[in-house]
Amino acid sequence: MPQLTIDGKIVEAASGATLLEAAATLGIDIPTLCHCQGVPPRTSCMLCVVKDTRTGRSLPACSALADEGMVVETHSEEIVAARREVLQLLLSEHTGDCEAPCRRTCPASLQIPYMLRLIQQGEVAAAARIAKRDLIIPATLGYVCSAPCEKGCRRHAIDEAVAIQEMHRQVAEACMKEAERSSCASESGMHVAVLGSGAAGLAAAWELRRLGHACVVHEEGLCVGGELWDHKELPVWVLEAEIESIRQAGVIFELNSTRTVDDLLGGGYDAVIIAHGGAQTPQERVFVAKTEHMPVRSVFHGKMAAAEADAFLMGHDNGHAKPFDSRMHRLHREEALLFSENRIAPEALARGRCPEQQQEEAARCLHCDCLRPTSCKLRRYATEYGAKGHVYGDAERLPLDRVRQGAGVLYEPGKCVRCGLCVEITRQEGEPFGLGFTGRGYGIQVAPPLHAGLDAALSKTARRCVEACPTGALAWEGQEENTPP
Amino acid sequence: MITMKPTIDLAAVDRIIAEFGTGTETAIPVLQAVQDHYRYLPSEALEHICATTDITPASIEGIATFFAQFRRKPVGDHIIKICAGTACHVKGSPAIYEALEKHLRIPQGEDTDPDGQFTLQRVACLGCCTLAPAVQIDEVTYGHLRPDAVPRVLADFLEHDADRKAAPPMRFHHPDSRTAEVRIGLGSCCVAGGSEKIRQALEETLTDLQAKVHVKHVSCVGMCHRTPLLEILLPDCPPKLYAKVRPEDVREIITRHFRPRSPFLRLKSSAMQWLERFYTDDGRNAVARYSIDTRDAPVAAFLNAQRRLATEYCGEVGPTDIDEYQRKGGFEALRRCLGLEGGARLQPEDIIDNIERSGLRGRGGAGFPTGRKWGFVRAAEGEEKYIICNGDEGDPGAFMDRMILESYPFRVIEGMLIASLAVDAHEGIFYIRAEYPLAVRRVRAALEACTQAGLVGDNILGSGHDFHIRVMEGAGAFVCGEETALLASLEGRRGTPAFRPPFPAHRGFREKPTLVNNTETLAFVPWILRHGPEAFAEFGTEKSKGTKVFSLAGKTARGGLIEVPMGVPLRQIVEEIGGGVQDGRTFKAVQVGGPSGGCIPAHLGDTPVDYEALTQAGAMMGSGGLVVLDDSDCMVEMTRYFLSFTQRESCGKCTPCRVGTKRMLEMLTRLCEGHGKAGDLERLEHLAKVVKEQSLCGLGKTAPNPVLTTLRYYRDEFEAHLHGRCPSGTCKGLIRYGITEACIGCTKCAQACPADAIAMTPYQPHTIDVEKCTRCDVCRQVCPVDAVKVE
Ligand SMILES: Cc1cc2nc3c(=O)[nH]c(=O)nc-3n(C[C@H](O)[C@H](O)[C@H](O)COP(=O)(O)O)c2cc1C
Ligand code: SF4
Ligand code: SF4
Ligand code: SF4
Ligand code: SF4
Ligand code: FES
Ligand code: FES
Ligand code: FES
Repeated sequence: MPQLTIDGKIVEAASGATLLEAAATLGIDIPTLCHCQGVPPRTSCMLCVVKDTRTGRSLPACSALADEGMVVETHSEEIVAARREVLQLLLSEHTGDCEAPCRRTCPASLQIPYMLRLIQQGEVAAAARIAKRDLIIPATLGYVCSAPCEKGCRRHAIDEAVAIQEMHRQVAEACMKEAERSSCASESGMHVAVLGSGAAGLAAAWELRRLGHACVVHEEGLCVGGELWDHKELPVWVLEAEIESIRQAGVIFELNSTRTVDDLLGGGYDAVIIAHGGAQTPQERVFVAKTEHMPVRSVFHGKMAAAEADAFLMGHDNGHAKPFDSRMHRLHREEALLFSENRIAPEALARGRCPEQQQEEAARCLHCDCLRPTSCKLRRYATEYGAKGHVYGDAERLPLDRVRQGAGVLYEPGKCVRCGLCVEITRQEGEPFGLGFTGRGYGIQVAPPLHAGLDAALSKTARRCVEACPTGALAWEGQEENTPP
Repeated sequence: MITMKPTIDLAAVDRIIAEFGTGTETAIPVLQAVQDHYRYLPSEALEHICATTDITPASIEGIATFFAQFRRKPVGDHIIKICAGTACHVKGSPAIYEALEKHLRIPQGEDTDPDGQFTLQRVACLGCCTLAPAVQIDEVTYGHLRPDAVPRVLADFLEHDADRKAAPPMRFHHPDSRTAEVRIGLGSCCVAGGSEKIRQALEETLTDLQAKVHVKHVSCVGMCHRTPLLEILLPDCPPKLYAKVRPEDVREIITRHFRPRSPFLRLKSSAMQWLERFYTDDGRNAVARYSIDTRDAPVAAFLNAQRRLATEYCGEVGPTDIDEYQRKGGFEALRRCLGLEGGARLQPEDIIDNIERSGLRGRGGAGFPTGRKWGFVRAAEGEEKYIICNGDEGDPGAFMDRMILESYPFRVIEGMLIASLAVDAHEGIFYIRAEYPLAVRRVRAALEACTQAGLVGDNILGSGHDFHIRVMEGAGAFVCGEETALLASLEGRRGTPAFRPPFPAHRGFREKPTLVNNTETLAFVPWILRHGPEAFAEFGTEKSKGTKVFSLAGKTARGGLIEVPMGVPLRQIVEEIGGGVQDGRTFKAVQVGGPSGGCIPAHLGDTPVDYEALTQAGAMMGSGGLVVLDDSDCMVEMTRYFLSFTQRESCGKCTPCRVGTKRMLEMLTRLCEGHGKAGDLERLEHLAKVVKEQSLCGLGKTAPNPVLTTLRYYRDEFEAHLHGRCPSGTCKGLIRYGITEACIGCTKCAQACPADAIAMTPYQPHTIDVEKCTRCDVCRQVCPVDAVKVE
């Protein structure tokens, strides 16, 4: 039973235990990609490196055995930097989008492909919930937004973008009456004032409520909505109904208000968000939601300001730190077409309102987002270690490829980190073909051997392989994860 | 493109499987045999193998695509191997490749010409670096090539191809101590240098003259820069050595030493010579020009600073002549260990103690004390133990192990036998690089001779000790020199390294304790046991004992295989043994240790060859390649070259090496092309450190060494590239060729230019069309008045 020191703590490891296991007994979490219980270590990703300070050597924790007298550092600055570099190297050849391009271009980050999937499945209420969660005023934006998302839509390059704006407007309008905004967190006891009730103010107010803070919106004018009323194409009832749903969630609106920031701070509010676009001087406990000409951008600023205020009030880091986003650079046309396989005929449909047409339109979505945006370890660690996807500018990326077969597994080689887990699992379980490595060095790939297909390769191991795959390289099609990161 | 798909007769596959067996370990030899038969690996054959053996589809596909030797597409009738090794690279092999591609009209992205006649293949090192740049067409090697010579070489090859097929097998002459002896070097360099033609000419001459002479084929003489070599020994005369002999010189050399038996023949011979001269108008005196005397100053310098232990009897012994080896003290050490030389039989501990006291350290690169390693294997638990002689030598620019295996196979076998006594192993394996067919043949022949003599096999020399040895040929992967990767490939898997510990000494081949030693390490063993550890330890420095074999190549006047005591300063090797750099250039740096090593600049020329001293200077002993660079070599380009080697040879397992070397190479390529960006140097340095620190195996851990040393010693050159300037005028993207007024209009350059970039304008100054110019440098080389300038 060797005794060693890990991050300053002394631990007695079981004999034959790896450093990873020894650290785990201390509750120290070391990141891994190519490691998996029940599979012999391949020692290939090198993300799990730790430093043995006695010898000065970096060791892969998943394979190096705990040894008597070792003094190990698992999260020193040097090790963190090394892990970040390893992640950046992996990301420099990664071909995949964590988020679909449409979602990336929507300033308020509506989770578009997921919403469209729900619509396609006929789950209109669930789709509306997503729209409200992300856009706050989805029906209103359905009229007033200039829809940059549709320019980002990959379908744009093939025939015509999916009618995203139309979709979120329709589902939001259909569910306007229902009080189904997602529920609010329990009361925090904090009071926040929001100055201004335009798109930014409304977004900030709702977000604050959702996070459990009491919120009062102070509006100089005589009605809630501010600059949104300038949009003549916006039906009055739509905006009114969306404001009403926010009011019902517990937001109080004070009209004709002349209160100033100092006034409010002195008057019992714990924080103030300025969302009226006026000039302001930086001040403690005051947060600014910029207002912009484009309403959806104001919504975004409102959400951000609310998150900042929340972080300040609750004394935690701004948990809204953006998750890492892998992005494919431009796709060649052939590559773009790969997405349209298995999708219905690419005719633009009449944009009607009946449920069938809605479903058909939603079905045109190519689902460019990754199927495993939340369980992907690569993304998780990239976020955690602050790795960037483009430090090697014009590095050669892998070609995009999407291999799918009947069994419902989608294999995207461009997202494979060559951890070898699937290769080992198919070997262990005696697959007649299995997956194997081909080539050498940078060109190494994981593929079914001897021209076998994916179904033949994963005849009995599909489930285990998808579970073990640390990234979105192997995923179940149509069973995508949807909890927002 | 070859469209015709041969119908596959799978009977051959069955035969091969019957020969090798159906276990998974046989995967590589089976594929080699299949490829030998079909000249590539047809999918049908692979499927058939999977169906009839234990080898799985995933593993066969994995192996067939891992090793460079295997081809999945049909090849042309002849394979042209273009050496991409260091020595050849500095002497311009990339331009040769381009010229071949162009001349054969090979389509972009392909490697075979449209007629399916020739297939081009880049290889790491042909092992005849002194002839650089070299190409090998099938079995024939052409050295000292220039791009403009490509058409002639191909024509020559095709013209003689038919003769070669009909060539008679080699004749052997039996020794008789009283007769005179003519020795021809038959090492790879010599063969490549044309010794085969010399041998033919020699035999013809001797037959004509009816001279009673013993023709002996000897091992590498170590003077590979002057090949082919011919040495004549007459009873009671000092030996006479002729270098760079040409077939047409043979008759003259021979007649000078051996008088034809009958007066008539004598007359005929001189008449013929006279006639030949008359017709060929070749009045030069071959003998005077080619004979060298070992007392000549340069030759003395080449030979005197050297000490030959591993290469003892260099150029004197026949490689596969077991009797001669024994006459010269061979197997004496083994007998002593077995107690057959008078004394008591040595205990394994005593053998290990001898090795330990000698201070011998592994010559495979890392320099681990050999005695200690043997001790580990001895102490490891297990009945079954193995010994592996690592002859995978993949460093481009190194050919010591090749030469040792080709020239002294018995010495290595003896070393292995002694090791087997020390660690109590019963099976040994020679793992020999694919590109060394001659070494494989020699070792096989030597093993055969040993088996006959009862030295290998069961109950060796009646001692009760059994030890069997077999040969395994590598399949073309540099990383398989790394011991864990080597073991993986021996076990029939992809040659990827594994994390150590466990070390092979504890868990190696077939999970059993295994001793892996380098060829040269083993070659020292008999000497140490014969002369005693103290004698060995007299050579060298405090921590690096004995001698070290180096292959010296690059820009020196003389190159070849040398063996020097440890501790000799690099400068002495370059200047005394190598004769300084060629063509009046200045000595800039010496690259030590191949792509895992580093460049040591001239001002640190006093660095001794010693494991620690070299590592401290940023290089590495590595396997012992020394490539000398002069002021016309661009350090950025050299670094890019080394990295392109390691990048290509990375096994692709661990992230830092697989992706990191690629990214570093991209940055270096950008610099060489003049597209460097601000911050590139810092990024490069940072990445190099990460790759060095975090890679899994020695390949990745050492791949950044060239980057780090050159950045350390030649940062100014990197900065110049960042600003679009290549100080030595090497990087094609940053230079232009032009012709000055000195041009006399001789049209030589226009004739030679393979890109038709120079218009033929007789008696007028010529000009270069920079658009068409491929910067192959041929024009500069052919210009008689030095009118071609690079800027
Ligand atoms: C990438 C790489 C290539 C190697 N190539 C060789 C080689 O060609 N020959 C060799 O003897 N050792 C080579 N080695 C070293 C071997 O792993 C091993 O250390 C050596 O064979 C042990 O023998 P020694 O103790 O006699 O030096 C290589 C190591 C690495 C990391
Ligand atoms: S595999 Fe991971 S990193 Fe790659 S696109 Fe999917 S979620 Fe993003
Ligand atoms: S229409 Fe505007 S708000 Fe709606 S998804 Fe697109 S960008 Fe986002
Ligand atoms: S596809 Fe296989 S090798 Fe690639 S990341 Fe997933 S499990 Fe690893
Ligand atoms: S360092 Fe390179 S060669 Fe070694 S295991 Fe890693 S990828 Fe393979
Ligand atoms: S190398 Fe340890 S988890 Fe990948
Ligand atoms: S033969 Fe070309 S470098 Fe060795
Ligand atoms: S091979 Fe002939 S001298 Fe080296």
